[in-house]
Amino acid sequence: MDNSQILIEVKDLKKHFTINHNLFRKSSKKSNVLKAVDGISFKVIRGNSLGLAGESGCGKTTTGKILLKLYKLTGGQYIFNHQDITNFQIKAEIKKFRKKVQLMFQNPFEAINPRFSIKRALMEPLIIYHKGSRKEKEDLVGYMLKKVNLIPTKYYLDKYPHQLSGGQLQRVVLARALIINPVFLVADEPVSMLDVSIRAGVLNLMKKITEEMQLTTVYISHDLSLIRYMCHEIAIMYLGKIVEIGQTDEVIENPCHPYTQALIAAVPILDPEVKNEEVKIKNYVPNPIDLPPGCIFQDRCPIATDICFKTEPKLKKIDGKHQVACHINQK
Amino acid sequence: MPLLEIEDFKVYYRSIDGISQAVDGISFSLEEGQSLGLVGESGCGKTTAVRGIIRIMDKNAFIAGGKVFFNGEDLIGFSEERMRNIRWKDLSLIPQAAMDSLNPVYPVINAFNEILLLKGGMNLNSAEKRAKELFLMVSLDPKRLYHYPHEFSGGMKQRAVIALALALKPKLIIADEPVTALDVIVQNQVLMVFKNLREKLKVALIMITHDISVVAQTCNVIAVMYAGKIIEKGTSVDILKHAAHPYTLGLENAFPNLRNPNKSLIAIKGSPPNLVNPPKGCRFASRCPFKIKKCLQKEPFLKEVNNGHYSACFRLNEIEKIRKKSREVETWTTVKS
Repeated sequence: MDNSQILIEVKDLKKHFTINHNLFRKSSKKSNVLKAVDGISFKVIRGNSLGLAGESGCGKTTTGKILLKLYKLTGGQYIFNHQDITNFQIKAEIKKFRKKVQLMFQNPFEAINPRFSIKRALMEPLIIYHKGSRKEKEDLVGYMLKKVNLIPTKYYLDKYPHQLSGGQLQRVVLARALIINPVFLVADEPVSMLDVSIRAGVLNLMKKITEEMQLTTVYISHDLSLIRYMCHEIAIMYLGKIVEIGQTDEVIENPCHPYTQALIAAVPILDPEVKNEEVKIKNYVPNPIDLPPGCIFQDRCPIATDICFKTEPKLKKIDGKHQVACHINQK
Repeated sequence: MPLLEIEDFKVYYRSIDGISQAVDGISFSLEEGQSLGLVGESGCGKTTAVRGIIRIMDKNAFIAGGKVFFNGEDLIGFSEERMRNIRWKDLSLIPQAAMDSLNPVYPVINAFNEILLLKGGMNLNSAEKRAKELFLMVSLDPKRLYHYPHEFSGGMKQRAVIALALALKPKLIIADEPVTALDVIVQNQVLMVFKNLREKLKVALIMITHDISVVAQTCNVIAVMYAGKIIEKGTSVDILKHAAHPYTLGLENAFPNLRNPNKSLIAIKGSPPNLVNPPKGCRFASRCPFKIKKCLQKEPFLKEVNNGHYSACFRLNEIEKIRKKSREVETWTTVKS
């Protein structure tokens, strides 16, 4: 892989939250640490897309927020466009970075100010970042609306969020994210609030536009089928760690971690004549505070042996880009 | 005699703009031990329909017509008092976001005691025994009965609520979006619970969902709703493998399928009609790429495609052609929305 093509590289990323159980005394002797993200590393090539998948609470949204520098890191390194931005402090530097990255929210009904017209909502990022004249800005708004298929644009410009449907609003959210021409987009469950018949339209649009604009994207979703449709690469997260990562097709067709295998087996089969198997892992995710040593998946794993309770497995290459963190299936 | 038979059932809402025909003449029947999946987009009337059946509607909703036969008796004529007697005993509901329906300030066993004592006429001892039995039935540890809801995970709460619905051995359970907020692995386990219960207890089940893949594995009959009407019904094999309505065919295109990555997604353009003033003809016509003149003028009724499989479309005689064409992207892009 040519190094110059890498846009995003994170090394041993960590984000820990301290939880104070005592509501009234702040300085309790022992405070608990929740390791939301605990030592993850990956690279995303320019123009590619990575899907972060996993159950709720596995740290995928926290990872997304770290990538946007909305959280201060506990540890690790974040390299964006060959520049180490882990310790960016100066306001001007951060502002420059924020201009290049954007976030697409899960719930379109809450993402747009209800008192802004669509035109005003789309103007907002331009007012903050763009230096053009008013006419230039307005042209850009029209161009963007056309790009997300809200045609005729005149009809939508003066509408308010409550007058649009969920699918239309999510297009506005996408347009607003892309209007300042970012290079990197994080989409956090972009269609989970939309109805099924509308989802496909938004997904196809995102796919088309991100390809046109050569955008690098990170999709956060619990829906493996969505990630398979949208992403080049997939990372399966479990309790703040990546347990398997690789090309999407490779990981889904040949899953090597027992957790990935369970996730895939649990997706309902659309054909009523083929029966789903019952997933063999135990049902609860352990408390992320005070995890035992060894593999994080040990107490749910159907194939765990002695070594899994003692040492933690590291991500190891098994084939090309496909890496898995499992003692048993690495061989 | 079917356990539940619904004929031309209508539930309307009064609103500022006028009367919204949320459920407009649906009919279906359910045999003992059968399971029906009621599938459709949000706002298509699936929740309104079942809430109308058990008569726990919102204040501005009213039943505008139709018959609901349960065990041979018409529920529409029942007084509130009689309705209350059969709720939970004969038919019980697992409401939407059921996980939040447990009272957070009491241990879970209190919810069981309340039902078993008040409605089941048991004493505390036998109620406790029954509650333990029920917890085992949904594979929860009976010790957990004494814990508070916040000590349960989402999937466990959902199972506890299922156990609660089973408390008085109802003949019919209605589950409204039972797995929607759950993760895939937990979803798989909850669906297995439903499947086992149906096989063991022979209880009938109506499952409401917007996700067709959820009912594919659990229900033997599926009814697809659109804008207040049932537009297609049949066995799950009929609906998922030999769909005979343009809307159902469109839905099939709109799902990403994990096991079939080469399928490209096709959206159904437009959005469902306003039900205060629904269009005269077929309610799907404005989004349908196969519409003909007749669709805009007359309303199609359910017609038999083959044994037990019904579809409400005027062009059933050309269905083979439509099915083939519906898989092409160009077909769906021609619709003006």
